[in-house]
Amino acid sequence: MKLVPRGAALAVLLLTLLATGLSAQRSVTGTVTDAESGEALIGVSVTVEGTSTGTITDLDGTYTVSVPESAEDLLFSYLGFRSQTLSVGTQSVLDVQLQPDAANLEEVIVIGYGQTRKQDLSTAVSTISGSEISDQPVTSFEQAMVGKLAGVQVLQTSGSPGAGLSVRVRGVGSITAGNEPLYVIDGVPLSNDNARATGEVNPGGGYAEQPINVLSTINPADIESIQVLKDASAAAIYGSRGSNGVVLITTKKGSAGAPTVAYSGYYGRQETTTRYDMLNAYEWAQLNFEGRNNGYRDRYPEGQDSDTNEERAANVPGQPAVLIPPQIQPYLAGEAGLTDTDWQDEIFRNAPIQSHSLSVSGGTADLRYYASAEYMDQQGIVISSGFKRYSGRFNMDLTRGRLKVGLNLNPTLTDHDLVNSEGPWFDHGVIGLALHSSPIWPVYNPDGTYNYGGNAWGYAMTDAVNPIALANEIQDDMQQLRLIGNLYAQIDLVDHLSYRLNLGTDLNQFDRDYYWPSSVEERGQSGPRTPVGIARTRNSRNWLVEHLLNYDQSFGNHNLSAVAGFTAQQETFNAKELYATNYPNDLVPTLNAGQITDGGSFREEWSLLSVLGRAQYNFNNRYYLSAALRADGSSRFGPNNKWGYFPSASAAWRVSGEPFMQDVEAVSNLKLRLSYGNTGNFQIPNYGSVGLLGFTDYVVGGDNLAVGLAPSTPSNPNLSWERTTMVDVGLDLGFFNDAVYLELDYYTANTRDLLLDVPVPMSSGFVSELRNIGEVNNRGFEAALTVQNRLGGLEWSLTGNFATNRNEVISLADNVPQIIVGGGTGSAQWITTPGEPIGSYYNPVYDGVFMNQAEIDAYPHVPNARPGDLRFLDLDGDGEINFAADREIQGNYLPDYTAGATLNLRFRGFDFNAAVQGAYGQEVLHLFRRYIYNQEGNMNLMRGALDRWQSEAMPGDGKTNRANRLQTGSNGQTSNWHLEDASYTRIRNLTLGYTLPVPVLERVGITKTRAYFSVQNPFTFTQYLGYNPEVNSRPDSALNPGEDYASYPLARIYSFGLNLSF
Amino acid sequence: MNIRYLFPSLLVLFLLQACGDDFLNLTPVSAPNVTNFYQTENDVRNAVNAAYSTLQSGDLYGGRDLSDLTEYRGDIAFDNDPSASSGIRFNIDRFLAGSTNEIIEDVWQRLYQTIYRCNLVLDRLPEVVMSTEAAQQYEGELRFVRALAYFHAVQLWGPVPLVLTADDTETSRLHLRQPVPEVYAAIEQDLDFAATALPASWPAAETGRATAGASRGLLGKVYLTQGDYGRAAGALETVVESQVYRLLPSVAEVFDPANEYNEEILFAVVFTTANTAEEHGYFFNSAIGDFIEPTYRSSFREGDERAATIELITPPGTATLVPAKYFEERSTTGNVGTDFPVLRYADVLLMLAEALNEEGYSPDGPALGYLNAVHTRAGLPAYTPAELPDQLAFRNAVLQERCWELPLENHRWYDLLRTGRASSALAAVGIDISNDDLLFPIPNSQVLIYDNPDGFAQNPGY
Repeated sequence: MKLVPRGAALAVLLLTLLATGLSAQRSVTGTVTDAESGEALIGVSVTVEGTSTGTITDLDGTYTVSVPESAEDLLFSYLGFRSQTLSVGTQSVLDVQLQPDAANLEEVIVIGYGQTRKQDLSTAVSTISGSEISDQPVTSFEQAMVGKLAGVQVLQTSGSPGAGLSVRVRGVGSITAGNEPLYVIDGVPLSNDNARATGEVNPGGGYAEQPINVLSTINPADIESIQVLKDASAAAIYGSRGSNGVVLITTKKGSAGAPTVAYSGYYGRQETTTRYDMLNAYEWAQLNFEGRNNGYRDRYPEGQDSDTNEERAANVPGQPAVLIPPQIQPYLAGEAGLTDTDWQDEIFRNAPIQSHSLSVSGGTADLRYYASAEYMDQQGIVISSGFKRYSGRFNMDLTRGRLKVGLNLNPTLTDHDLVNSEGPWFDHGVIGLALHSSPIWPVYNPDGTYNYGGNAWGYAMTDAVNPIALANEIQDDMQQLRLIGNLYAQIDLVDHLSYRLNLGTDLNQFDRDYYWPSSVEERGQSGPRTPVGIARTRNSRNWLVEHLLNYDQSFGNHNLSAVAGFTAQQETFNAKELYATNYPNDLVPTLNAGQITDGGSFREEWSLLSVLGRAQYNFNNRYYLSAALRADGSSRFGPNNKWGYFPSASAAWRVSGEPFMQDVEAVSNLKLRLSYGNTGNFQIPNYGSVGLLGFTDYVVGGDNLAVGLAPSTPSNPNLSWERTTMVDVGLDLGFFNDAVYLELDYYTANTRDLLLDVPVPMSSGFVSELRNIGEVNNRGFEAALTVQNRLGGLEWSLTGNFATNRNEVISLADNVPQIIVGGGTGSAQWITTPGEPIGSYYNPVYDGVFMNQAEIDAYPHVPNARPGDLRFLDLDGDGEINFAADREIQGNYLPDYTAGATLNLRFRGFDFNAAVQGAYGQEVLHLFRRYIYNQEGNMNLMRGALDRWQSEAMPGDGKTNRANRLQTGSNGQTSNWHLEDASYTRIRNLTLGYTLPVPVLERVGITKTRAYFSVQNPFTFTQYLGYNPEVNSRPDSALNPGEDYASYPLARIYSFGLNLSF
Repeated sequence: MNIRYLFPSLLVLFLLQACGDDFLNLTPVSAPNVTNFYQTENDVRNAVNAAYSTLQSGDLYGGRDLSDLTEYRGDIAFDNDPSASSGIRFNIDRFLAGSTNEIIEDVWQRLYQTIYRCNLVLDRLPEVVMSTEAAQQYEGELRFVRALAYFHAVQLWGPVPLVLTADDTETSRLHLRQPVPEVYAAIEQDLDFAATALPASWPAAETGRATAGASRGLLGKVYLTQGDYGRAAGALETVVESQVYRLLPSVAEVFDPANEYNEEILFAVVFTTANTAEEHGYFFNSAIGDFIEPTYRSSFREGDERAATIELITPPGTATLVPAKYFEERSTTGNVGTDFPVLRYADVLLMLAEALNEEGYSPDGPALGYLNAVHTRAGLPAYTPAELPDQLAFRNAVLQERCWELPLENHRWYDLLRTGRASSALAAVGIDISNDDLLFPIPNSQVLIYDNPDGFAQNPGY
């Protein structure tokens, strides 16, 4: 017996608990009504305390429940009302009146290393409840946060299944360190380092893949609530990791009672929300012809459209761009029925999505548990892409006298079916290629093989590999196996003082397998390609130890709570990779079949040691004071700056608690808040302070490798965290028993010691050096309003939020007046300079096309400009167009304001939810238009190309340059011609649900059945011409955001869902 | 509360605090770092190799950027793809490039990175224990590489910052643009030193490192560029007299991928397909047609074998065009390992002919012999004194010979600058240039960083 593991003993214990039950029964009935209006309440949950037995009230508010003889109490709970427990006694009829509890001020808010009542809060914290997340077909919880929280912008930069989202809490404070908030799940701070877990695989890359979503391992249905610590005073308890805000995720726990089994699931279809309007094959062939003729006549003015290729070659030797590809001749001749491929139809599909989640929860007064399992499968709307998740969770809390022990375990397996869908066409990005590919080529040859006519075509046509072949045939799979868990033990040392030990871990294993078969061509090379196989693994181990002392006591009207702690956290990751080639055939894609050509392994680690303390005091629940201090030491900081100190303080006055307010009945709550805090940003490179050496080898003796080592980064022993100081003023206002509840906040945050890659004179041997320098200000106003009421049988609530944020660079380094960086193509620029937001677009200005030679002569122009070419403004007035100087700031990717609103209606068994959100005043640099709107005709073009300048008599719309394969007039220069207003309003979600009446269900033992139909992203209203106005090719980079180089569109999802519990 | 629980917890607390320093001081595991480097001779050798390896960069000899500035800029090759990368290469070819042109900036940055790597080891060298002989050799190699980098910089931009020690990033701001003669003086000192410190040749396993001959040859070119013909001839004659080098029987053999770093090569930047990291794409390749000026192609005389070296061929399985002299079968990764010649014996002979002719024309002197050695090797009949009756005719013949012998080897723009022919040569291919065009713009980013209109001004005209 001694050898029986404790786990087994525990399992036996649990089974015993699950099997509790059968004894004598009797029946209790009654009606539940609203204490204020007297109306019947429908769907109130009625449970027998300590058991699983329960029911809900019907349309008349009545219920009947079977009660064991031994039962004492019945629990009545209903959203928006205070729960009540009533003793049954021997009564068989029990009528109940529930008190409305609109703003739920008793609601407990998790604030990091502790919790507090909402009414006691003196800082800015936003909350979203689990039910708002789990009733939507979202694969990751951040998707459900979109547009719900004032001052928290959730950006879906990519629609790729499993792709990361960008979350910005109160703007962008950092220029080069990360801007993602800290995520803390059940007390374990997660590291964001895994977003680029397995690096890049795209051969010839240089264009970053979109990061994966490290939070997508979490089953949204397991989440009880999410709190976002927005102001620095709230976040300061997380010290050097708090300056981008902190997102605290609490998962569900069981409550005392017999087991409740719940199922929630949905099945849906996804489709693209929008498409580019492209030319058809005939229009494109005409444009191609015209572009070649224009290039031809630019060089040989006597040339005629009718000249043969022989004549053209003789007149303009060595220039294939003036020849007419024979493949387009039938189109020019207008032959009917020729190939006219819509490549977007080929690359996109309608794809299914489904999720099934089953949970069991319950417990006794001493032992409570919640266990769940989930299967989620999302196929992507781009062919061959997809994401699957298998997740489990086991949460348990045990109380034994003075001791509390708890465990949260969350194992997950996710499977990403990756396709190089985003990024430039020349980097084999399949969406870009689909838009770019000429419509005259079919997808398949008559024999069923892929058609590669667009690749290595000749005639100076741009090479395009068949994107369907790339998507279908290249294998790229990544699996992530993850375990997030924590174990705590808490003991009451003496009255009011407890000690808590918290051990946490986050273990990750990534495996990525990639194979480019020989049958798929590479850009610019026809015929079979050398196959390439890549195998990559990465594991990361993050562990956490926390010792916390909690003190909580009231002395008359003086209430004091305090926490002091000591924590240590460390992360190590190991990466390994192998490359192979020379596969004999494409039968076996794993590396054993090929010849290993290269490989390597890599390890990094970081550590963080912290001491923290916080005291909260209030007098008579009216005057609140709170102060906190955290000291963080980290391996990432330079030797001269090893420790950072992050103090904060806040105060609040609950005016409505004052005696003189008791007569003002309309005002149910009035609170003024003021907070100040210091936080840091620790998302700096692991070894940023150490000058690293990089291998850079040479060759001697013909083939002998001469190992070379040289500094790749300069050393900076002073390197430290970025520091944010934020002041927040807030007002909470509730009217009519909080049926109308308004929260207002104004904040201003200065982030100093920005971690900047400061350009240094190249004569130093380096281009830039990481330094702590410069300052950025974010200031803004936030409002959140909730209105709820009842209208006869109709319950309704409307919540809305509105936020502004003004981002302004205050200073950079003395000798750095501005930081100008490029983007995905040479001539696009972004500027970061004092007085302007971070990463503003900085490009030349175009103002139409030259209508004729006279206009060119009268105007500054680039040397080879001709009629029909773009006209640029001579901004510095020197009479010349010089693209280095003739640039101006043209807006940015940061919205001026964001807004969101959610409407909830409930009538009888029906519920309806509508959510809308929007962002306004931001721009996107639609760089991909440089290719598909350039009228060169070497790739397919957007339909707007039809409005091009063709002659003085046919000037088009006056904004679109002439067709020319041998471009003149710098028409390819990135300018405001490519910048688009990306403001949008999106109907985010429409859901209609119906909860079946009770009697139907009781017969099969089900206590609740709700079915719903939902549409995600049904409508988006925007001027933006691309797929997604939130697009951002480089979500990690604040210096050059908002670029669209072909992106993965967001899907519209129609889904049908079911919630059952029994 | 049981004291049994408290004690272990406090112990953990104590232990963690005690090891706090170790816990927080993590040095990179997988990346070597500067804290413990430059201590042994092996470290120095690795650092010297790294200095050479910057020359392999795509911005210098491993790709197209340097060729944009030295070859496409001239009248032999042209950029045939104006729309590629917003025309940043095209603009260089057509003298439209401004100070924000990334290609120009990349070359600047890579040259100074090369210089920094040399400086860093030169600074640390005295502290490392090794034989004087070895130290001299390493110093010679580093100073050769540094001189090569400065020689490019001074020809491309004129006055440039002269940095001869490895300074931190703040101090480097104090290095302003120095007058051209001072830069040349430093180059000469480096090459003088290298010429005495380096061996005439290396053991077979080490070929590719700089030699005394390479240093003297380059020194000769440096003198020639400054118009110091006497010293140029002196240095170059030493190379000839050393008899280490010879002309191979045909030009084709010089570029035979099976016969790299042959007796005609004084210095080349070495690549190999034996290691995938040491490969490169085809030099001077084009996907969209010819890029050799037709006037140049037609300038070859009947029977000149060198015309074949710039014929464009299409490597199997590609749609690209590659000049024959840089053709090699592709490796499994689609790349090649052809070396890029920096200095070869034919160049030395032609420089010597040029220097001697400038010293004083002699109808049948050694200068004619050197010119004819190269001329006849190409399969052409020797020049007679009657064909080159005066100094000007001889000068023209040497320049023309260089043009035929050394195309696509990054010499042409410098040759045009040195001989004052840039303007006329480009006019002949339809490009009018001004005196300002003889220097490239200083990268605008650097002008902004220095922010010093006196000490670090932009070149005129930009």
